[in-house]
Amino acid sequence: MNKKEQLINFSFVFPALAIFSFFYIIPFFYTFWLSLHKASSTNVLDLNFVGVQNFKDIFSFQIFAALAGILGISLIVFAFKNKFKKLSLNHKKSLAKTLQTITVVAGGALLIYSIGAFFNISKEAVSFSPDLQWWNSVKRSFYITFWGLTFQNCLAFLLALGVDRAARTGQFYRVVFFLLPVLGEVIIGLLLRIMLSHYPGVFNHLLESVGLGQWAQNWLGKDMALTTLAVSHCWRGFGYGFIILLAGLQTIPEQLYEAARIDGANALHRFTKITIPMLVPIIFLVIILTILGTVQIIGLPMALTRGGPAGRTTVSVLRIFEDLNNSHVGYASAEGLILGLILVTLSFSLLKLSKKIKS
Amino acid sequence: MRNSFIYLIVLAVCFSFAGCNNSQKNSGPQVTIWHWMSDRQDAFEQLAQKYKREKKITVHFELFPHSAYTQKINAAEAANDLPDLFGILGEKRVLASFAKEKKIEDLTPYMEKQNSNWKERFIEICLAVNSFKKDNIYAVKPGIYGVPIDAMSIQFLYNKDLLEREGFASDSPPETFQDFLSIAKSAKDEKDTYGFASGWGETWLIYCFTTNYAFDLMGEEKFLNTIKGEVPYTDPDWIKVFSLFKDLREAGILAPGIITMNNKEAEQIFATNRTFFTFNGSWGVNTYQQINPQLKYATMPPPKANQKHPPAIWAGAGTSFVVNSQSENKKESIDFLKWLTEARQQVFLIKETNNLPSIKGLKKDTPDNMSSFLSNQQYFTHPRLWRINENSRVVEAINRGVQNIVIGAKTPEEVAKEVAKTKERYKNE
Amino acid sequence: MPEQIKKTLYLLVIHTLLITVALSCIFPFVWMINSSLKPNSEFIQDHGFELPDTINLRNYIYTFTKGNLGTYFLNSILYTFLTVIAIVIISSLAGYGISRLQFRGKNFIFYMILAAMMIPIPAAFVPLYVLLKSVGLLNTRIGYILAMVNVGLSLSIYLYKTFFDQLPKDLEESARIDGCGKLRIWWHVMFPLAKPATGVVVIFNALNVWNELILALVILSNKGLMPLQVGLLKFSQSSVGLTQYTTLMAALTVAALPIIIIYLIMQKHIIKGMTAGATVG
Repeated sequence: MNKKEQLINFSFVFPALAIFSFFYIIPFFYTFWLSLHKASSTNVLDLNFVGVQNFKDIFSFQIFAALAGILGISLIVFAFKNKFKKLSLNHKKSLAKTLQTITVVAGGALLIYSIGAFFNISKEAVSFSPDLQWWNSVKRSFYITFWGLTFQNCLAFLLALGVDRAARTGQFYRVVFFLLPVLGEVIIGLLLRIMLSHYPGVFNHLLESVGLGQWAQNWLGKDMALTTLAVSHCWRGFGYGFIILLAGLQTIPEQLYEAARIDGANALHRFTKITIPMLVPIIFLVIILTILGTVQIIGLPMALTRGGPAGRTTVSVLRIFEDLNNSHVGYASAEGLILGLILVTLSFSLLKLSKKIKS
Repeated sequence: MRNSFIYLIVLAVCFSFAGCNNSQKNSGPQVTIWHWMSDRQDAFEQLAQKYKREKKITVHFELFPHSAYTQKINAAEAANDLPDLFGILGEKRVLASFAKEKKIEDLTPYMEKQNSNWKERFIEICLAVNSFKKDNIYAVKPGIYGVPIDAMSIQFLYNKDLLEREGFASDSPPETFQDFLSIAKSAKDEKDTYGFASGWGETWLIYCFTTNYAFDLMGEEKFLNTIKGEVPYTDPDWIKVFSLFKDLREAGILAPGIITMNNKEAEQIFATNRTFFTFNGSWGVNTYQQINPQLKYATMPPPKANQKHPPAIWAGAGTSFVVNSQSENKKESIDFLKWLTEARQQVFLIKETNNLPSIKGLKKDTPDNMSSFLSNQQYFTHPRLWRINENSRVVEAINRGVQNIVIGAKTPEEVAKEVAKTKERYKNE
Repeated sequence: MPEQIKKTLYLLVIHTLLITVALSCIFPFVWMINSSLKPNSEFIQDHGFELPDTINLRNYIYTFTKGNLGTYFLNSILYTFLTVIAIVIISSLAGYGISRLQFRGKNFIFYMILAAMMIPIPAAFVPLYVLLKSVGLLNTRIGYILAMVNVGLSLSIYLYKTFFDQLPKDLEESARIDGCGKLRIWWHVMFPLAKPATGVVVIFNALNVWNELILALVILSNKGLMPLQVGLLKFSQSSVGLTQYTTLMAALTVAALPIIIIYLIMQKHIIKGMTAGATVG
């Protein structure tokens, strides 16, 4: 393949790449740079370079040192497994060699740092104090994600199956189930706030009028708020999964089912042997979309609970927002990076898993 | 079909380009103001139109939701893109930072300019919250850095009709915290009526309430020493402060959902005669007026929990605008502020937004409901007048702790311990 | 016979579920519209469950005269329309390139694009602002549209790429033998074939842009440029929006109805596109 053709091929991704570099890659490095800074105590605009202090504060010194150690070891292993071989086929051997050396040195340095840190910890008895406010907010995000993955996706799948069979009324349901996503988080959030608030108490009134009065309670109170938020989120968002899964279901050729039926397979068999395997990539897509959409949830809690009561619905992105509002720009950047890292790891391992299952 | 589609795209693209040119094309100096006060936007825009008629200068009031405002300002500051005039949310530290970095103009020379007597117009406390004295801990050059356009105080209010109906004299509100609790308890006699409601979903109201009683229970000195780090939050006096919230809870007088309630929702409850007492700022008059013009209420001094020290009441400038020192329209901006704080405009703002004026001499233009917020002046204070302010992380811990006490999830002692721990963790910030 | 009963039972269960969920989706609308026709005091009394005594349009009049929703609405339409078109073109190009064409660093680029979709935007508030300011795109429609294009790109490229991966190569081959260039193959062969993927990309991105709020607040400062969601948030925080439930609901209805109507008109095409893809995949 000659240079010119390469260039032509590359030009297909160029527009995407250009927008990307501008809106993601540069801000990413900028965010990273900011995360190494902290404002001084008397001047919030005066950012001082503090190195990885923000990360240490978030993780606590112990976990930070352990993470550095793990990263160091994996870098060294990575280098000695010689993953750069592929590179050396296309390029000069020396490049691969240099990269390998750099990786080993970096890994070694991290490892030494980690060992040194633990030596210090054992000597000085540093107290273990991760930023619980932040990690609790992450926990809340994942609690909602858990609801999204189980309740929301099961509901979406069930409904998609139902509509797939019901050819006549399918059109109607497709329209109706997608109404809520069309409306948007702000409208839904505001409506729900009016419905669920203690005053005027619309939802409780509704429960009473259908004879379920004993279920009426303070939906946005301390025990229920987070679950209410999670369920509202699922209710608002199941339409996305529904539409994708339905489209997936309809790509399965009817002949496959026919053939199975002739072979005497029952409904359950047909479902586990045909429907599920055919849908694997789509199911994984829905799962990843759910995780992304839920961990970064912000509009709904902002409209519905604003993080309350007593911080019980402060999800991770809302926490980042709070930190920004209190002029902790560096700290918030560090939190954002950590959240991004968690999401990247999660999504990529899911994609890998999906590939493994497929093959 | 395809042609018309392409035509549509071209049209839309043109429109979008035209749109962004539009905003820059207008000739002559223009003043842009950023603020977060959604309830005042209408009145502001009317004033802008009036100003345009009188002085031929266009003023844009750009409103941002409260939750995103600080971030917008921070980002604009980092990009050197601040508007001509803007409000600053947050502690004095933030105002100090802007002043120190010379992002905002020191207005003292303009205020004190000969024959302008601009400075003399204002109520002192309103200017004071925007000023830095000599040798302040922030090391900011002494001066006035913001122009107050209205005043406020955050006070206890009681509903006269409800108190009377329960057999209490409507002009002698409770003086001690115990009396307050027992009167509020009688709300249980009435259907759907509560003893006390306040917008404690918005945490700053909680911090305000807490500091009011911290002054009452330990005095200003000890309170400030806690901030300095010389007195721990686990001090018995602080436990007493936190215990007040437990008392409120145990008396069963709090409106359900009080800690998810926002300010306006609480105002609505008070305006519809459904709570005996509330704790709110003078801006609430506007809502009360809109919902129930017949509402009879008055302010009262904070019911004392202790006889030794006076309680505190937050009061000062409601909204202040600062001037971007790098603005090309500095002169026009300052002129506009001067105009905005003239008696005529201030009276207009009183009428339209029901907020207290920031200038003196408008007593006869201020309705009784509003001037009631100027009573109890002996207790007036403002965090921006204290020589030191608490770290925002600690304030956050206090607010969260109090909310936890109110919903019965934690005891005052636990909360005190947690706050002390937070204080310890961030003591170097 | 038992087979028959089983089937009926199964249908009964499925349809009960479908109908319940459908009701839960429709009910809020009916309730919202019904309540918006009442004065606030009546709503407080009956919680919006009874028909209004008299049709009262005061809330709507207030919304139209004071809400300024018209400008916001047009802005939102414009942003959604342009962003979606840009995303469809750019991401189908890139998806085709990554799926079918060879060039150096292809996989790296693909994974980078995927990874980027996970960075939470609020964390990049300050960087984005500074960057846009430096190239003069701050507070412009184009700046906002480009930012929104960027947000939607990752997912769209991923969808197109996986879709193109599944397509048989013969069609492309025959076009190439006919002497078509790569760009023409993309436009005349691949893009039309990708209708179902386009359907999904259009829906997702249209909704995403329509519902976006945070980026608009960062990038735009001029009220004439703000999208509908910002307008609604402002309205909901004004003193009327916070205290007069029924007026707020009138505003919500005004904001919701047009998009629902557009959706009802469009959904036929969207779903046709998606099911047309069923035969291809």
